[in-house]
Amino acid sequence: MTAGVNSAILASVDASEKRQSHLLLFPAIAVVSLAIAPFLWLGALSFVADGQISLEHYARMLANPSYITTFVTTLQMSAVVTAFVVLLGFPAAYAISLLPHRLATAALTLVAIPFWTSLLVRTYAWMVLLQRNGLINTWAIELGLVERPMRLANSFLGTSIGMIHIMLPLFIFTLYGTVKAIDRTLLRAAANLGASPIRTFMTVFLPLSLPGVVTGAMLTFIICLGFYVTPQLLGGGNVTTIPMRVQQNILIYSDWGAASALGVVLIVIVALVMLTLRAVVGKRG
Amino acid sequence: MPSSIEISDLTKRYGQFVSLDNVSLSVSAGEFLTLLGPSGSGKTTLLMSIAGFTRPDAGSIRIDNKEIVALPPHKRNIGMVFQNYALFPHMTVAENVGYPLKLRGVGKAERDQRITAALAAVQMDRFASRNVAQLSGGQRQRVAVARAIVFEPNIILMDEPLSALDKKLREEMQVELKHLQVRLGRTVVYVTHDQKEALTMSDRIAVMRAGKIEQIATPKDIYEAPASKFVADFIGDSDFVPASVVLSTGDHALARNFLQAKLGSLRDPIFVLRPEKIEIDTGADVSHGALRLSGTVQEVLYQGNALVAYIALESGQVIRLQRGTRTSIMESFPQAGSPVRILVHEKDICIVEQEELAR
Repeated sequence: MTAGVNSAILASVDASEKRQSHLLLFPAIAVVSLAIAPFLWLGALSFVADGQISLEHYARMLANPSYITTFVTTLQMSAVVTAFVVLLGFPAAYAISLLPHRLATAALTLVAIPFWTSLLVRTYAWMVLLQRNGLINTWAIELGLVERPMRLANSFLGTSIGMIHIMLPLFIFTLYGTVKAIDRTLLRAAANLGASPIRTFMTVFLPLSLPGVVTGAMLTFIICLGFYVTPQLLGGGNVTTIPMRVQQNILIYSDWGAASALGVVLIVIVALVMLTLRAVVGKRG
Repeated sequence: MPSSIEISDLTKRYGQFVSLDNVSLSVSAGEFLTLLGPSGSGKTTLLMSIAGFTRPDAGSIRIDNKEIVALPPHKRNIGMVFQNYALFPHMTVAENVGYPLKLRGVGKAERDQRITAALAAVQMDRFASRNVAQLSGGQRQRVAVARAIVFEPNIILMDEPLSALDKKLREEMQVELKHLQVRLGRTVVYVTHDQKEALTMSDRIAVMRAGKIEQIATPKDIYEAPASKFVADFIGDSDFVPASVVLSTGDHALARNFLQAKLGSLRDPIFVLRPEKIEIDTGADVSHGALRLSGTVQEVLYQGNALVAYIALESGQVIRLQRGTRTSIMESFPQAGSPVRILVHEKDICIVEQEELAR
């Protein structure tokens, strides 16, 4: 290195900028010490029983059919909710993306209002609607659609309805970004090249919105796996999900090891789902 | 086989704004016609109406005498090159070009062959398996052209296809596209706001203004004989000097008969002075009819390939005079501050009617 004009000053500016950039490490340190470390500690607990390293918590899960049922219910619930969220959310996101700017903003605000409403409030609202003598049953009977009240609340169905409603805005927001970003001239180009509107949708619009659908669906599915309040209240004891078992293990049995074993299995499931989806979607481009 | 296009009384309004005002236009089979005009002049609306993306309020568009004005775009069989190319990002180059063939049920073997041929026509055959994202702007442009010609449409529309390219590449592509059009013998309707591009490529240019066609003619006629001040102003550089100024201050004895014939029919005539069509009067040239004006050189700008002198006429109006930069010209070129006489040959005199142009 040769010492040129002002080189000492410029070097000291470099050094002071470098020092300042170390400040940026603090959030990272905070995340590691406040989130990741406790997380790993809880995970380690699942391999400890009666003060010894053991797989007892995992063995119990496999041996006890009720645990298996809980896992199946949780996965089923998440899958059903995700499927309906995609089916309902895709047309909604598509329709909003076609609206002129002002109407689109209004529509997105309407989507956002339930999103901002407390999950608890929304769940209670659905309880009121879905009850035996709730609004839906009352109207259905008055309209002569059914003779006796349907069993909507306190069931898998009711829980699903509540969760679909809760998850839909998130999915629409996620997908809207992708759908909105699709260049509309591509659709014109497809039409110009001879594609009917349906062909255009299938060969251009759908493939281009797929990344958004997959991201949104994955997000929905993973969040659904962790639902606690809604299945607790709308399931009415007839729906048991993993987070409910985690809560039981901690609050009723004070067995942190068993609770965190459930969490570990849940995380493994989530990881597998993500990897599978990435493998499938990643291949397509 | 190229097709002819017959457009009559096409009208399109957006609220109060009239985008197309009773436009009539015929494009003959195999012609390269350019729609040229400032933004908002209706050129894109006209092109989009032919493509079927804009539905006019009234009027007729016939291709080979068949009415298509109400036909949806996917049934028109017209090729189109979009401004941003509109290549499908989820398909390879070959898949993009093969897309219209696939839609038409062309078998795999023939499809591959035609994809290769179309890509070869634009020198992109080596890139068939590339992703669109890996291509440069110029390469995308070529692929877009290949995709527009691969299904052998009789008409190809181009919407400012070169506007995103840099100047050098743009000029190369102008020549290349023109050659391709001649070789394929297709009818092309081309939209641009680049007047040089229009002059270079077109068989005819339709200059559009406020939803109407102001003048439609060959590039040479558009440039040499603009029908209005708008056209003269929009295409090329020009200075406008009112006829009254020319007649009162200029020496026009030699061109008198000629001028009288030309001025007689015009209301408020003005002269169109193109910087490259006027020269400095050395006194040597007395043989032919010409117009002479006196003035003072205000400033001389050196532009590499041209010298531009700003000359203040006796009336105070400033006009430009342009010359090449050959050393002999530069050496004898008048300096700023020196008085000059300029000369316009009779054949280069162009006169239009005065009008206010919005700036």
